[in-house]
Amino acid sequence: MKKSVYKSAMSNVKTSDNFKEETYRKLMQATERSASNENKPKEKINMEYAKKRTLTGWAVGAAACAVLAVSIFTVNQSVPTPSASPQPSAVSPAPSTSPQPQPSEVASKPPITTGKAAVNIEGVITEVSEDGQSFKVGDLWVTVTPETAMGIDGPTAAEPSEELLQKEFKVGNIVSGFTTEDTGTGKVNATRIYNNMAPSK
Amino acid sequence: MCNSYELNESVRRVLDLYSQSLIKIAFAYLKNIADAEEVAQEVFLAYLQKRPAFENDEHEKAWLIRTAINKSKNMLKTGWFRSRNPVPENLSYLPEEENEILQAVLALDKKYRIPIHLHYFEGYTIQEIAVIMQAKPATVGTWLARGRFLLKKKIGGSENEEICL
Repeated sequence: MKKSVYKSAMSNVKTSDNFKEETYRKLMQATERSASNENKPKEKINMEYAKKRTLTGWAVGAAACAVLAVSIFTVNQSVPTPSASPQPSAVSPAPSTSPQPQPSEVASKPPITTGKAAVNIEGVITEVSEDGQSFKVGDLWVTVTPETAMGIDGPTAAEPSEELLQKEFKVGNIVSGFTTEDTGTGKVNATRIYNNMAPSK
Repeated sequence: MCNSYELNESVRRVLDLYSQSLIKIAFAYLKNIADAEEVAQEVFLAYLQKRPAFENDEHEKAWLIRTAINKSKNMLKTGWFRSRNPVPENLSYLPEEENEILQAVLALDKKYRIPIHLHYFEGYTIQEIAVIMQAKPATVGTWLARGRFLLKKKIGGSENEEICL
């Protein structure tokens, strides 16, 4: 029988001389490595790692909460409190001098459509009507009606005096008060008169 | 469960018995001795790690050859293996006739060259090759016949002459 040429050729193909020894050495190394890995306390290492991660997570969360709290506190400090809203004062109840509402405050409140605007009456009387119940301050005729409140009220108000609030309106007197009526007509009824005093000499 | 001594003896035995077979089947697949030796080492490592139970020595050899084929396929699929352009294995030291036959077989498609290697080098029958390659015996017979036909065209020979590999 003719010997297989292919088998002979394949048998004669050269391989590494130390293949068996090298392979045996590598296999033994792999066995030792796997044995040492089996003996390693893997769980303990994993738990320590997990614990460290948990601590880091809590620290980051606490820091984030602190930053959030500080920022909220800072923002609240810059927004005006509701007590700072405009109120007519006893001496000078001019809405124009009161602090302007903040944009956030305006946006949060519904528009006021029914409120009356208080307009200051302040100045020197230049003309008095014949009945003495009306006087002219600047270009505005002011009428004092029975509904007009006189003087300053309130718990801290001073006692009314004849010097500051004379009963008779005279040309040259200095008056102050306010009206809630429309000043565009040029003639209004006074809502309150705080002062009506003679000019100092 | 075998102890360390038995394991070492077992590894030495399979190394002595099957090293050349595994290197050669991987060489038939990869056409490179260095890669073939690497595949053979991986096969022995898998043998050591899995420690499969075999019915007999033939079963053991068939398992090792099947693993070598699978690992050779895996190596062929890897990106680095595809990207490289290796120098063809120098087989000039072989006698001219052997060199010619070997180059002709290695030039075949691996579908034909593996059954031819298993048949002519390992001496497996068509049925045994079918078991190892997980194919039908008829399919293996067809691969062998086509492989022989292609070799005959390449090496030469008359229509009626039986090719001698």
